[in-house]
Amino acid sequence: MIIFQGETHLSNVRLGGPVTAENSSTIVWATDTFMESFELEAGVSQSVHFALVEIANDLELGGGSFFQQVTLTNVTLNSGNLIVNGTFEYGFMADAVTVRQGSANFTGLENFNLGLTVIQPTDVIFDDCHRGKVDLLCFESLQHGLRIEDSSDNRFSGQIINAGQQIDDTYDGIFVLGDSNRNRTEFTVTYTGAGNQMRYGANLSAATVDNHVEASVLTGSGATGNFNDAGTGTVLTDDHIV
Amino acid sequence: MKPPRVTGEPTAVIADHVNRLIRKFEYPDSDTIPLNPILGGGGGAPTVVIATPGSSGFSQGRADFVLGLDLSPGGFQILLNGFTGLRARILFTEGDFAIDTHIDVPTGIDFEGAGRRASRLTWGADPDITFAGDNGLRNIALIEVAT
Repeated sequence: MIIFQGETHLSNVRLGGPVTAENSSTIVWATDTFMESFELEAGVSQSVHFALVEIANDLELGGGSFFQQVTLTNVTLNSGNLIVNGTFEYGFMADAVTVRQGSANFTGLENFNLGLTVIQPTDVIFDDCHRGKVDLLCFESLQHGLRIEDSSDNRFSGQIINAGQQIDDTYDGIFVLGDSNRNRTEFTVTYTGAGNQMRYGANLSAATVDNHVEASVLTGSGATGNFNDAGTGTVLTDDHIV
Repeated sequence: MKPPRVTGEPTAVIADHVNRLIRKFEYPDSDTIPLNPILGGGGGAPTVVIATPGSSGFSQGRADFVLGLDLSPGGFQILLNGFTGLRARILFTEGDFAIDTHIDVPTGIDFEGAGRRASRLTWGADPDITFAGDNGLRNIALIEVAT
């Protein structure tokens, strides 16, 4: 175990064991660094800035607490989970983050900006996330390509390809549920014929209100249907949905 | 001229060596206080060069300590403690440095190696290494190995 308790600068470093940042004053700056895993424990006033960082297993930021700032730039997770759970005083920014074969789960974020590529993930979940901007490419997710739950006033865009690989006709390309309102989604959802098929290209549950599905090319995506809207006040802007 | 390397590892020996390095930092113009010639003379943070028996003869010959010969992992902790409250740098030569004990790195101590594939510090699963803060790690690998 490698433990950082204060400000730490890493440059061209290989950390071959679990790394924990555990003290409330921890600030970790890492550049061109390889880690086995990294966990920022629950606390306050902690910051993480990663650039050109590769992580073999989990990258876990949070525990539901209050953090100062996290920026991830050109970060790759090779087989672990990206778990972000917390409130960030100066926002959460991630650009060019790649997750291969793990989950990408975000909880409790506000005012965030995220550029994310997920390759064969288990799932991609935004839960209780608000006022964020997400640019996502999701390829061959085992479950939903993008699950938006209890999240409002976000803008999601990107590509979802061959989601729902785990079980045929069960998972959706985009699944919006819970108290998720006024989200704007702009996606191309496609099924290329490889493996199991999605249930719906996009599926809005009854609890959703005033969401805007824009310019989404869903044709041929879902086994049950391309689009299912059980929500209230959903606005559609495209003629390629069905 | 570089003085003979400190041998043995009683606490007093290590502490004396650290004190001489610190004095060199404080009085860089003195020619009676040893400083590792690899680092040049005068000024800068106190720097200790550590090699391992697997390092090249060149590196061992110029190191202040050779871990496993004249410095044990416990002695390494004593060495680090000697710089408490100061800005200092531990420079590791190429090689595998087996440190199978818990290490606390005080505030302000930097670790620097010869490359993250060249200088490897290894730990067992149970002992850990804790960096207190204001630490820098550069060109080095810290690897947990199965024991």
